[in-house]
Amino acid sequence: MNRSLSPLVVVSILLASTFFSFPRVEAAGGDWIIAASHPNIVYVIDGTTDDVIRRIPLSGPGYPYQIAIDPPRKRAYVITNKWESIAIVDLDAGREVGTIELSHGAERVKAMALAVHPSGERLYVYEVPTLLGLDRLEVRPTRLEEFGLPTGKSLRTIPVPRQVTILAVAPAGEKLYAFAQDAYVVDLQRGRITETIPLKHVGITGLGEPDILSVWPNYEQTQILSLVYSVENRIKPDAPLLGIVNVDLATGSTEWIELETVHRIIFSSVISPSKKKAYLVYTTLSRVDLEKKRLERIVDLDHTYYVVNISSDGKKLYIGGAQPDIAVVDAESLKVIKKIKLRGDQSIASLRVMTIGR
Amino acid sequence: MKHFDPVNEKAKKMASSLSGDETFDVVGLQQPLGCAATFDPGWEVDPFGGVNNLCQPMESDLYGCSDPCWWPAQLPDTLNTYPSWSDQCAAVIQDWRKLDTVFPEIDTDR
Repeated sequence: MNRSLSPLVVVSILLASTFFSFPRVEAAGGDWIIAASHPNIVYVIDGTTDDVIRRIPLSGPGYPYQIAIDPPRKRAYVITNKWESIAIVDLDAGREVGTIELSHGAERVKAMALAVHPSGERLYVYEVPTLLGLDRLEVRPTRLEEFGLPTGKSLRTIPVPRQVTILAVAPAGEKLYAFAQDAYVVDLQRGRITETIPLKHVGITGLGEPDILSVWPNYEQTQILSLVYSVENRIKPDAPLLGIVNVDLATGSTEWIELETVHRIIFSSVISPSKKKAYLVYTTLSRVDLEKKRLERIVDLDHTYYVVNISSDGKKLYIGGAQPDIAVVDAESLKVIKKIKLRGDQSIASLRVMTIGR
Repeated sequence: MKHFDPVNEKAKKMASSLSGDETFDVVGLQQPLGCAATFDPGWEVDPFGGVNNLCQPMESDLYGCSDPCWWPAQLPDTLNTYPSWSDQCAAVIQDWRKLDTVFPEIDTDR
């Protein structure tokens, strides 16, 4: 289980970056939007000009999936290589500086989620391992693996249940949330799950079990993870409900907000830095007044977007995922003010906003 | 089976399973074995019986469905069995003609 960066991988990345590096633009402070797309590329977008300032090809096959960010060190950690590797990306230098390989020998490991500790010294990866035998495949228990940074050395594993899709470390760094059907709280000092926050099993009177789509970790402005759910309405069975559940990563408290009868799909939501608004996206973009707990505006989009994130001043939304463009949207008018073109489809890759130098 | 004795690990597991001594939990596998082990049913209609709430246009959603094995019956398993399927097509809406049909590999030598 002793895993560290391969020198050969590092050398090959350095050579590759010589050929493919993006024309260098000096990166200023402020917001950086970190995006990813097919074929296997990570982008840094300057939040002042909304231009791509780094285009960083990752080594190996596959496409990028989830992105974890470390703003103080200007690094990103990206699931790639058929979800069997973590690429370590120096965003300022504009190159991949290392790789953590997860599969070893006959054990194939797929990473489904990851998060960086606020100290920047540890990386947590949720792993789904399978033993590839000669005549059978053996499902092994899912686990959380902790890696030391910047070495990439495995430090320990912690058993966690299946179906985790988002990891998030609390801002104080003492605990980690693993979001699955419910949210498991892992005490990082004791190395075990100490609490379960009910989501699917919340048991709200009159409602069924919420069906929650948790794929995109976009809580960086508020440390509140907002997830979209739909739920059976047992009082009015023909009127299932759509809502958002907001999980405060500092306290673990949850707020459930029912918004409307389900008549459209929503994929993701984000909370504004003021914590007064939420924004929801799919083929429509919606704004929610969190004080009045109601939808206040809905606009149609030109195509489907999976993920919404927001600038640190709350004035601009970045909506991406699916196709090869990110739309920059005025948070007040909900009008698209710019389209940022990428090389390929973003698919379900993360769209993160990190604030530098504040 | 009473006239046969298991001699290797696999045969012992089969014998144990057939005798009813061993029970297994059924779990959502979340892609440890491949796309075919996930349970999403299909891609033809939205939850309301129409198509308005499918991704628009459908090309937006192709890799969103294949990358995470979301719709296993309709798209190749690019995480495991067909990892190169999308290599020649970075943007589906522009280059969808480069995406080919895949078929299970058959060992013709047998």
